[in-house]
Order: sequence, then structure tokens, then C-alpha cells
Amino acid sequence: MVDRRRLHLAYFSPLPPARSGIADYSAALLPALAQQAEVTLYAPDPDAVSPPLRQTYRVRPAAAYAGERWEHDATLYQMGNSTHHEDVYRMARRYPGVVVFHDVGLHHFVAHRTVGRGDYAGYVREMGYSLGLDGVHQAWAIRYGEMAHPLTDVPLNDRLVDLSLGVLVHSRYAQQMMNRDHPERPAYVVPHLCFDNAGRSRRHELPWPEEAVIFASFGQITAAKRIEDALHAFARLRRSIPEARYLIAGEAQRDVNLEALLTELDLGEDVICTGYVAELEAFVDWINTADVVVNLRYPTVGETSGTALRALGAGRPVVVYDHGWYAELPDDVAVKVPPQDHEALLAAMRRLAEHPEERRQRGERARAYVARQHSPEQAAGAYVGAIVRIVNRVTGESPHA
Amino acid sequence: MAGKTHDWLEEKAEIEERPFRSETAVVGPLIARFREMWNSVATKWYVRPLLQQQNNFNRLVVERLHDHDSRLIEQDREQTGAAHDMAALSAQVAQANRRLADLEAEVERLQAKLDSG
Repeated sequence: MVDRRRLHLAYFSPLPPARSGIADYSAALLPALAQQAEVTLYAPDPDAVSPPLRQTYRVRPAAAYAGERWEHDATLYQMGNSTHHEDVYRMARRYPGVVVFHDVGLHHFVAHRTVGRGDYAGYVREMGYSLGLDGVHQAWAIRYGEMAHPLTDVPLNDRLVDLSLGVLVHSRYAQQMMNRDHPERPAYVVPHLCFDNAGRSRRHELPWPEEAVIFASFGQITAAKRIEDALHAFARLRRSIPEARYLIAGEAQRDVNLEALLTELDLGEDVICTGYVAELEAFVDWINTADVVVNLRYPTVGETSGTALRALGAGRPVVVYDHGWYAELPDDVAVKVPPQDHEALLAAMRRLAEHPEERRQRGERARAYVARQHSPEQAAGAYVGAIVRIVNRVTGESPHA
Repeated sequence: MAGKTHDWLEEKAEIEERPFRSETAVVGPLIARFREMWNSVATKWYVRPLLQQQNNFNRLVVERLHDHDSRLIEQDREQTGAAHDMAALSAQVAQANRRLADLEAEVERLQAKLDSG
């Protein structure tokens, strides 16, 4: 039986300096995880891993894993829905282990690594694996332009889940999705973690008056993050609250024409977009600059928003759409509005703009909530507990180590 | 989850006779009509059985491809299940190895104790 003290863990993840939220996540989790387990990091090129990690942990080439896997009790794969996870995905397929699904749906990732590289047969295969013959038909219909990729309807995670020894997710919502679709595979919740939220306000760097109420959105700006909803509501809000301003700290992706949207809404200099913020410190500072963070997502693919947590951890009131993981946030912490209910969104933004005391109180409760539920130590403990259970289940031991 | 989709290939498999058309101005309809008449005398009775034969063949090809796809999916799933089972066995072997190493260390420790005492 594996006990917590002796757990030896092989760890695959995007790692800094990769431009990935999950790379930052791993960098924050590892110190706490290494307190509770022997961790070996595997990377395609260990020399490309950031020096602080190389100096602190054992980093081995991924190519050496096959010969060394017997040294580990379990292998952990941090899997997300972006191109940064190519190597993680390949290894998780070749040497299945415990997979952390940061996003339950992997359709974007799978479509990119198949169709995006001209490998249509690969996409047909994955659709067939997940949906049977109907998936094959859909894939061909997509190829000939008769339907769009069902990016949010079909998660395309089935192969990875079926291969895995167990899965970890960040919310009860995602766990329910896993239990519904893969009842035979154990799924545990490990809290997403939140860290390094202390920063300083950069309000003085903005050409806005001191009394401005700053709304803000952070991270990659994609269509699913509904910046359009937020800015439409903001444009209406500004008519009655002219001191309101909007900060966007992140890079607009191809599916969002931010410039056209700002022109259409005639928002001028009342909206500032910083573009991609490379330094975490600066990113945190911008969060600490905001009075209210608007963190919308629709539809959800079962993700947990690290940015929303970071904003809560920084003591910011956060407005979210009331579904998926976001619905699990305490009511007195996040301001939840029904998805795509534009009137409710406007009302929530107006209330927060007009009531600084409510902003302050929600911010305090948010900071306490994150410290209580999402610390690296909390997450690491949940990781080790869940992995021990999975390993003992696989090896026929009692699930309660 | 997306609804059931018609098979694109199946829809394309059925070929049909096409009406004659002519783009020629004024006399175009007459030309088309003449071709239609000539076809009904000269080629229709020859082409129709060929069409039928081709459609039968196309249907068989589609069925065969469906069968191949179904088997590929089944094999893919079985292979994935086998890979999962292999990973579970690997985990068991790793645990057995580690337990064996622990036992060997314990035996060595006891042996050393016996030797010394």
C-alpha cells in the first residue's frame, strides 16, 4: 500500500517559461507538492525549463521516462485544452497515468493537433472513438463544410479518460461530468490553487481620473469569454455613471475583433487594452488596479478560471455567469448573473459601481475564501490524497490509505 | 451532445438520371426536348440498368465502409482498453518492485542485527 509519506510521483506539465497558465500553476503547486511527495519533473528538453525549477527539482528528459517509470508510484499529467499540452498528451497516451483535466473538454486541442495539421483522418478517428459511427459521419460532414466543429458539445476527452488510471478535476461540476460520461473511472476534485495575488495598483499609470470606477477583464480574450457582453453592458452603464472605465489586460484572439467592437460602441479612451502581459507580477498588479473584475464565460467546457480565482484572491469583487464551476463560488463572494442575461449583467455592474462598501466587503470575503480553499498546501494535500486512493484502487489495496 | 448526423457518403451514393438542358438561346428548349426524345429511343433502356447496377454497387461500398469504420472504432476502443489495463499492470508491478525493495532492505537490516548480536 502506498502511503502519503512515500509517494513517488512522475510529473508531466507545461513548465515555465512556457506561456501557459498551467505552467504557472505547476510552478506554484510544486513547492507544496514536493513537501508531501517525491516529485520528478519530466520535460522534452530539461534545459529549456526555467532555471529556478531546475535548481529545485529533479528534472529528467521525457525520453528517459520509459526506463525510469518503475521508480514512481504514479505518473501525473497536467492536461489542458491548449497547444502547450502536446507533449503531455502524447506521453499520457503512451504511458497512461493520473490525468488532471484543467478543462474537461479537449476538442480545441484535438482539432488543432489533427485538422490543424492537415491530419483529417486523425480527427475522424477521434470523433469515431468518442461518438461511434455517428462521429465519423459528423467528421466527414465537417470536412465538407456541412457543419461546424462541435467544439463545446463534444469534449473529445474519452480516449484520455479511458486510458487513465484516474482523473482529477477542479470542480464538482467537472466531477459530475466525468462521473456521468465515465462512471467506471474514479474522478476526484482537487482545488484549483491561487497564489501570489499581492500586488500594487497601477492606477496612476492610467490616464483616468482618481474617482474612476475601473472594471476590468483579464487573460486571453476569446469569444467564449464574452468581452462583447461585458463591453455592451459597460457602454450602457457609462451613460449613467460617466466615471466608469474599462481595462482589458490580455491579448485578443482571432475570434474577437476588439478594435471593431470598441469603435462600434464608441468607447474611445474609456477602455484601455494593455495587450498580452508577459510578466506575472505586472498581471497581478493590473488585477489589483481593478475595482471590479468581469470574468464571463459562455459556454463553459468545465473549466475552472485561474484568473477569476486570482482576482478573488486579490480581494476584487468578481462578476461571473452563473453556471459550471462559477456557480460553485459562494454567493456572498462572486456576483453571479444568469448566462447571457444582459440586463442582469448591467444591473450587477451598476450596483457594484454605485456601492463601494459592497465592493470592499465582497473583496474581503473573496480574499478569505481563496486563502481558505485554494492555497497550494490545500491543493497539494488533495492531490496526494487522491493519487494514493487511485494507486491503491489500481493495485487492489484498500482505497483509504 | 450533437444530434445524429446523416452520412454524407450515403447521401452522395445514389446517382440519378438528369434532365437534358441546353443553354442555346431561343431554340434551347427544342434542343433539350429533341435530346430527351432521342435518349428515350436510343439510350434510356441501356443506361437505366447501368444506373441501377451502379447504385447497387455504391450502396454495397457504403455498407462496406460503414462496416470497416465500425470495426476500426471497435478495435480502437479495445486497444485503448488494453492500454489502460497494461498501465494498471505496470502500476502493480511498480508497487510490487517497491515493496520487494523495502522487504530486501528489511531483511538486510535484520541480517545485520543478527550478525552483530
